[in-house]
Amino acid sequence: MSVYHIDRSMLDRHRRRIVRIVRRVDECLDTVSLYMHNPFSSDPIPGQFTMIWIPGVDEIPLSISYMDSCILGVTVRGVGEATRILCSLQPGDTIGVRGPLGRGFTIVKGRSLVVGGGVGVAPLRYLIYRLIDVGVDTYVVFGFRDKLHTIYLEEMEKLSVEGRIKLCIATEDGSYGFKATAYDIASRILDESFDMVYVCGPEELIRRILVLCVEKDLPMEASIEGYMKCGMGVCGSCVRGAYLVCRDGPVFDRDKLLEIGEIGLRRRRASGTIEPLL
Amino acid sequence: MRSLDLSVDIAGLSLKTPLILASGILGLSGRLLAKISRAEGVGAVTTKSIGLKPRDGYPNPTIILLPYGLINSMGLPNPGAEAFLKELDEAEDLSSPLIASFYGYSVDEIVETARIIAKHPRVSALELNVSCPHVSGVYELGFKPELVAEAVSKVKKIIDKPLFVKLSPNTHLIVDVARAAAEAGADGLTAINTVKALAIDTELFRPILSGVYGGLSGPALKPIALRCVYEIYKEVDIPIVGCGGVSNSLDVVEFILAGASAVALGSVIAFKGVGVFRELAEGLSSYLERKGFRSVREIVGLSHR
Repeated sequence: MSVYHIDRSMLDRHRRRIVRIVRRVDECLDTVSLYMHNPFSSDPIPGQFTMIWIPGVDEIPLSISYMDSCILGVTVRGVGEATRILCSLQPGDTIGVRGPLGRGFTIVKGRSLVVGGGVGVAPLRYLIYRLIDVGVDTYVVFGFRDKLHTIYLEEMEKLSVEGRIKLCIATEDGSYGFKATAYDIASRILDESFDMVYVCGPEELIRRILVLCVEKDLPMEASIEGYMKCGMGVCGSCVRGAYLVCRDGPVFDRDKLLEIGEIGLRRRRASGTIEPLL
Repeated sequence: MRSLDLSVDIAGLSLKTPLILASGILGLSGRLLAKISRAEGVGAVTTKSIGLKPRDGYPNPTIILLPYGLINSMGLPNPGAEAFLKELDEAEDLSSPLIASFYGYSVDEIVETARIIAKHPRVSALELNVSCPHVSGVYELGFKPELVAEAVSKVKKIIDKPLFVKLSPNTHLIVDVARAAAEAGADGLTAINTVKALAIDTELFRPILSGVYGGLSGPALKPIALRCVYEIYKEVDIPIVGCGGVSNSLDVVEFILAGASAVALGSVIAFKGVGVFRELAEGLSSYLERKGFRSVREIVGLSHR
């Protein structure tokens, strides 16, 4: 720690490194995975995020969807200006990266249920590989709008065929897998045999799984979003309840999610203005 | 453990400790402000600066971390005065005074914003921000003693709560602005806001912040802030909140010796979290004890003897 109390690891995590994209994979019609040389000097925990800088456009938080010793991957759905531009990038293009940031998932041995909806499956993919590595009995439930919006399908099915995970895919219109939502499937599977439930996806999904986990008294962690600006716990822009998503999250446990209270009910815009979600 | 009473009275506010959460830091959510107000060592909390209308602030990047501080260019994001009143409704169990920071692009707008936010019962005092270095219109106000005086006297006519003015270090006229504010009826001064600054990405050949310019805070700012407090204390009689780069309890002591009656903490919260209030309160208390003082008041301005 320096005399100024700005420790080296913090400086390191918040330095914007300019990196080249080495590979892009079109996951579905509006979602792309981008891979770059691993710029991090510390090993990220699944659930941690990066701030991706598109010079001249914006800098946005993206969770880590892939990580090995050489390569960092993020998965982005084109919904706004910055994410659409990111989705259009090609190998050779450069972006700025800082991270790994925030608090990730807790790895618990035993049996786990991983529930994801839409592009919310991104941080869960990296988590699933880590769970497999440490020998956790992993049950995966992914839900998508329709077949055209499915992500990581082949990859997850390969893991399932190899017997490394149990997998259940659902689409709302039934065009692939079960005609159901991720919640429908998860609520049927969830019982006291699970040692941890991990969730990421639409807040409505997180809120309903939270209710279920409280009823059944099961431990749960979910990754949530906030309007991120500084990413270092100082500006307060990403506040949910009385917690900062960038510093106290993005992964919160069941009790903190309950304390936050507003999950799936309201969120903040850039100005801090609160808007209802229901 | 603190054995000494650190309470201070400043501009009509009674604080349990002289340590204040600086404006711009975390102060957007009523619930979070209330939580911070209950943390050990906290004397008061200040909100983000609130304007008449909602403002998104600048796109990212809005912050740069350096080995000696931060440069930020948030661009005054805030939900606007009316929406902020609802935010304050959620600030339940406030256990320290809340200071509402506000700004405007003109004297009329400043007065109108003050009128709206001052009426909330949870607002104990107001702090007029005329010194944000990355929002033009607000930045320049703080260089003009006569405009600051006009704004202060008009605001004081319509509110019955203490009014602080947060001063800009980006002018050689800081003492003149301080004096003008005091003569116009300000109850206290906060010195200083950030210093206008810049950072360039050497790989991409461009300024990093989307707003180009930002405000430098953190340890690099401390000696400048200290000099400003010292100069103002010599010339102006109203209480001063020292602000700029405090990162340990001896920094707090220095500011008080220079003439500050209270000290605001900002960037250090990024480095150490909210627990820093307790750490600095304990450090201040042991300093006073070691030097044989019984209260903070006894050392305010002591370096001027």
